[in-house]
Amino acid sequence: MAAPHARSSTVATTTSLGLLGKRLLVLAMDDSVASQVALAWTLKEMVHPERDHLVVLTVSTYKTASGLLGGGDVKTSKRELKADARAQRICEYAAMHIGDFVKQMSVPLSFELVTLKAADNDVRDVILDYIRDTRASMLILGAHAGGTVKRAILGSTSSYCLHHAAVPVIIVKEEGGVKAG
Amino acid sequence: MSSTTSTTSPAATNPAPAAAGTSTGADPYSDRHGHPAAHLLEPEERAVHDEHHLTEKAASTSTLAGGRTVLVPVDGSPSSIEAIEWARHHFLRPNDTVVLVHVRSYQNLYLADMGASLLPAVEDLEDVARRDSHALIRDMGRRLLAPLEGTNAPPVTRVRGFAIRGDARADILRKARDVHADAIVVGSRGLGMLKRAVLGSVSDYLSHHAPCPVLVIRPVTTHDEEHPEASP
Repeated sequence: MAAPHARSSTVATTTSLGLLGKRLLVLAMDDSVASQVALAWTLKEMVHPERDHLVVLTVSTYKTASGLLGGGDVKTSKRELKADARAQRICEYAAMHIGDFVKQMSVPLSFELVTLKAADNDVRDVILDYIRDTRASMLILGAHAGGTVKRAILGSTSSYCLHHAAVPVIIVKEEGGVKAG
Repeated sequence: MSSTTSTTSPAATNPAPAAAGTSTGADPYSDRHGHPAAHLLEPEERAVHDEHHLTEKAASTSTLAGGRTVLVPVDGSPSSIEAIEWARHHFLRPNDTVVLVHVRSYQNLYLADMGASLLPAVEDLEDVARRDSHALIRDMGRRLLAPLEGTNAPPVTRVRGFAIRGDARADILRKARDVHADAIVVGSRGLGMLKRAVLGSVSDYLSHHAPCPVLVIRPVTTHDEEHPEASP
């Protein structure tokens, strides 16, 4: 399951959000184009700069290596480092993009970059736990293109979160800001 | 609130084959609104679209500057109301145009011999269903246009409604394409929901197939529960 993260600061943020009457928007991002589209959409269409606190959530996920042939711990550490580096890149992208948006729109926006760890593909549970613990107002997810492809595609994580989240869920497709039809 | 009802039916331009050879007298294969009898049509042709303009300004089809077109499917369930309330408070902007859509299935009478003489019975059912559909759309529109608390202004000024007879999933998606929706706001559980299911089939379908963003709305549950997985 998720390694402990800085929960105390997040809970403190949430409490003060409640007092200020602000909404907590959680955008879960991975390294896909769909996530980038979801971020752009969230900033343009969803966020009220005065009223909202935006959390960009990334989950660093890796498979723990078995120790059957020895050296399992080393392998796991290497994977962990790679996963962390991936998550770090996503955070940097998000920070840059949000920075550009804030500058362009000349509005202050309170936001936070949160990275959680999940070993062995508990990503979806980590996301849902985070939503529950922080009492988020909504969850926003990117998803691969579904409209033009015969087979409906919604990643397993997005699909699971959509079914089981206890809050409104927004699915932004890869061709994202495009109008239907 | 002005409302004009115009009826468009794709099948009106192609008369059903059975009617082609009849005289210009009363056509036994069309109902009193001029729609060919449903059981003679292919599924795609059965859809009937009745349009409502719920606000005066919605009569023109162009969108207001910077405004988005937001499609909201409704079915009369509490979930539809949740979706509308959420949209009002959390998403809609004054320049947006809301398109309400209600899809009803056509009324079936399963009888061995569906002759033309039984059409009046089906027609009556259809009329009731159609009236209910329009009433529901008007009701949802009123809810949507109620002024927001603390202000005297409604969240949007332009609302259109469509009362459609057809298949919920396919027709909602088709309508979204027709109106070039920028987003779809839909409740998570519909009228026909099984107790066990966590997500309705229509919201599930739309989130998979709609090319525009889909906002699936459920009430934010109180987080003091022991087992959050148990909540829908």
